[in-house]
Amino acid sequence: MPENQTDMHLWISLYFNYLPIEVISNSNLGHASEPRAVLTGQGRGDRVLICSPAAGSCGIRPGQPVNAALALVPELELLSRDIDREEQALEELAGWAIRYTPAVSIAAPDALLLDIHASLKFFGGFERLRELLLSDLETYGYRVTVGCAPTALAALWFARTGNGAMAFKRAELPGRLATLPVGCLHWPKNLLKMFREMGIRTLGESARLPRDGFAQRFGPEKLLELDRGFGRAPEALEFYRPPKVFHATQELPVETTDGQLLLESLQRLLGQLRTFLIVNQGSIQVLWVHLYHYGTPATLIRIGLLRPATDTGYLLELARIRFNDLRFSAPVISIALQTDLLEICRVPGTDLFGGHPDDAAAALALMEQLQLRLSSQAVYGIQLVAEHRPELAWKAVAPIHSRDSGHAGGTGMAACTSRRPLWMLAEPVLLKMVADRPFFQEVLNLEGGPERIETGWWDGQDVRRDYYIARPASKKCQGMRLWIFRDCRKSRWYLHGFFG
Amino acid sequence: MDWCGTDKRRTKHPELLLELERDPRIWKAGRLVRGHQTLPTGFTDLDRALSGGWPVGVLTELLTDFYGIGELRLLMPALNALSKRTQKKILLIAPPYIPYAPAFARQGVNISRLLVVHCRHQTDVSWATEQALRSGTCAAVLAWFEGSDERSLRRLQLATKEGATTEGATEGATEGATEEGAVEARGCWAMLFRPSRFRSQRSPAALRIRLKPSRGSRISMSIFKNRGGRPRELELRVPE
Repeated sequence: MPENQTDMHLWISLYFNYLPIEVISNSNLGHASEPRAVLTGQGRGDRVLICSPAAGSCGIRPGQPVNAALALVPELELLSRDIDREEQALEELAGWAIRYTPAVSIAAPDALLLDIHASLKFFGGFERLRELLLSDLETYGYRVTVGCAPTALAALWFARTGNGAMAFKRAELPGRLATLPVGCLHWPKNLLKMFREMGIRTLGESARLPRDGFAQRFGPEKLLELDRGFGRAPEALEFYRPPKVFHATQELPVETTDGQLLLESLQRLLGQLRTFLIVNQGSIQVLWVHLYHYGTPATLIRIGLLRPATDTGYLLELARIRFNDLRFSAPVISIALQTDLLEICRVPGTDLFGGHPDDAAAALALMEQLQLRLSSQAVYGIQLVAEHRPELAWKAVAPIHSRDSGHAGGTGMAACTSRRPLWMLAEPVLLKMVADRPFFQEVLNLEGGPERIETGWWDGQDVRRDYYIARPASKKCQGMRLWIFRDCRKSRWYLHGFFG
Repeated sequence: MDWCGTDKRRTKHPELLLELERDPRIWKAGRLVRGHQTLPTGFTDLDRALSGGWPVGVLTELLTDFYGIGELRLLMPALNALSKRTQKKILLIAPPYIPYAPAFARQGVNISRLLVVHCRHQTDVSWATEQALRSGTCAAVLAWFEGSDERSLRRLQLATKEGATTEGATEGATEGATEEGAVEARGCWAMLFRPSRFRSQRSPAALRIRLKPSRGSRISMSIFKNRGGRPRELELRVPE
């Protein structure tokens, strides 16, 4: 580490040398140690583009003709290159790298550039950060070479060379770069051939060429590239921006209809989603799960949440419930997760007195939700009314306005001194008479009472009733208590409530 | 077997014993770990059977076919205490009859906390209950649920848990903590009333109790599933 860090930037470059083979083996069954090679994919005269370490130790080298490679290792597994997947993998890796620095740039087709200058202190220095990066990548199954330099291009060149050379200060940059072979530029073959014919092997030698002649031979943009790498011209990189929508696919190791296996794969995807949410400081409300089948249309499952959430464990539980009673028309070959637009996570605050200001809003939202679906009369608070007629001694009030009236709610407390049932019937139910006794499911015995209620002559709904507490005569239901009354004018018995 | 369970040997100070029992530092061999908050029931015997009280933040099922046997009075002491110290609402979802305000007030419940939700269909009941539980804005949710769907029960159990976590409590964080006031901030007291024919059905509820009428003002309870405790048969006198 340099002692005085005066440079504005310090770039780490992660060069994914084995990306073509890793994207294929990572998504398939583990990364097996058998010899594999990815081909350049040009049909006739196929050559080995890159090979696995196992194949490398058997003598297979990049650039070898396929036939030569097969002659060396007959059981060599030949894979064709999947450029789309490489691009996608690099995007995903950029999404991962963004947790270490906001300045991440994709150097297609096989490298990432991270400006770590501002992150060094937080992650405890260069060595520590490098360890973090490497251990993460190891768990994801990628091998990289690392380069570090004050300019992004130089970092990339160091990484491609892969001999551990680095430069932390601008002053040491030209000297360190001078020894790198020109091959690390990854320029077109004809240009590298020109270098070779001119007897130029290293960057240092190329930098000593006359500038105008260099521009003429190789093109001005190549001269600019060298200048940028050496820090003589400003670099303009396009930074990676995380997508606003999460989308990830996981291919299943085997075709399956087994919900448990699907859930395991889903769990992995949800892990990615979780990282995504953390990085974006977002939360989601709707999650789409696509289950792809071979030959038949995909099954689409929507997992909706009432309010934005970041807890993927909860999502998994919801998915488990959905998967339980899902019948698949065909075996599933891959799963994809997709989210709608993210919501920005709000950190719940507390007010001065420790209450949650959001609580009231959330309670209100719940009421609205309930009223919206069940009609506005279906949700109500209750209040006392000063009234002797039992059915009028309470009233329904709007849920939001039922404020802290406590027990006040009118002066109806007098009515409550005598026993009242916790359950009241909306309308009194006429009781049958059996052997001159009121009957509800069975014959009732009168226990308490009577309590005469005779009132309401002024509004035309006057009542004259004798209320009794009754219990069923049989042993089975002895503990039941009913509130019944005899209408004194009609001489009929009614059930009006239960002592719940 | 139980150092304070048998009535004959009980001391003159049952409250003291109960207090001791609630002390989180004391571990009783007969009691398994109960990771959630409890709400004292107001009945000494029941508190003991439930290791502290009604569990909060998990689902409780009360199975009964009768109304008027004291099934509400059983909850009154807890409801009473809860309604007085919480700012949140207590929801009664799809009650079979009208919750009669004067009677609730007579029992000491702060009725301004009570909200009644009527549902026309069973699907609405489970939906409304789930919303209420998940929102984390209710102190208690009492729902009368006729549906037989096990899946919706599991959703409810999940919602209860989620409602509790949004309140900042994690299940298992404090064992048997029953300090006053602590309960109110966390989780929701979730009670589900169901017909007793569902007794044999599998259920994710942490506590399942069958209620039956008994003599006088007593109610007979059979606690047949008690996560973190053991099954018990009880008969309680519920005051009128």
